[in-house]
Amino acid sequence: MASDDRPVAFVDSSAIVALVDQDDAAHSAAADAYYELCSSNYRLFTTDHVVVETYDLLLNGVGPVVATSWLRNHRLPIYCTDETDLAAAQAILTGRPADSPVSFTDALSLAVMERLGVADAFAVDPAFLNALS
Amino acid sequence: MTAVNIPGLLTVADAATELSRSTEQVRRYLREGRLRGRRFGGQWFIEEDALTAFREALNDQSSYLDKLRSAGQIQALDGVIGIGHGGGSNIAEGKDSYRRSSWWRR
Repeated sequence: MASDDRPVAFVDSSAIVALVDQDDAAHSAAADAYYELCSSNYRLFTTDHVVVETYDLLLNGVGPVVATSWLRNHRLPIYCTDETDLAAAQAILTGRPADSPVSFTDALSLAVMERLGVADAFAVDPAFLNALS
Repeated sequence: MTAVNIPGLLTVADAATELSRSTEQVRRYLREGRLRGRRFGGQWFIEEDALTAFREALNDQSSYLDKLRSAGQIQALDGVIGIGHGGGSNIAEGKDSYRRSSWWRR
């Protein structure tokens, strides 16, 4: 639905954690992917719920100083979800088979991507990527 | 908009054209209750007013993307690359696995 020709990708918390934590096994690949997205003129964004999820992951995985530093220093645009997005996420969750659950945050990300007509995502979490496909 | 036999109601194909989405996507919106419609003889029909409201909501959100600048321009994540040392995680194994292993690493 975007009228701008530049591509858009949604950013998942897994990609951010991989970028931030230089000890993570996915760090180098995530950094390479990020620079590739930048050089390809991608516009990136995430949601308010992914910010919450990312902060919690970093808080527990890397510690409060880094989690706070990430909050302070990133410049990623944040889409604020609304009632329509929450209802769509709920529909995604209740419509899925019980043996292939996704988290509420992931369902909300999928709902927002669909609402905005965004097909590309920057993520390394296999559960999120599977839900996307 | 193309009205069908019943005044004020549109077919799924009409709605798909109006929304620039596939007919399957429109059916999903209907099934999920995000777009209000009625079923007659097993076929979905959409009220014009409901479609207008739904399209306006989509357009409102779509304008969000138009405001975005390129990640390279705004250096969206440049300033946070490699700022942490988590002690050897692998987020590519999944967020759940990452959460479970966090306690042991720290």
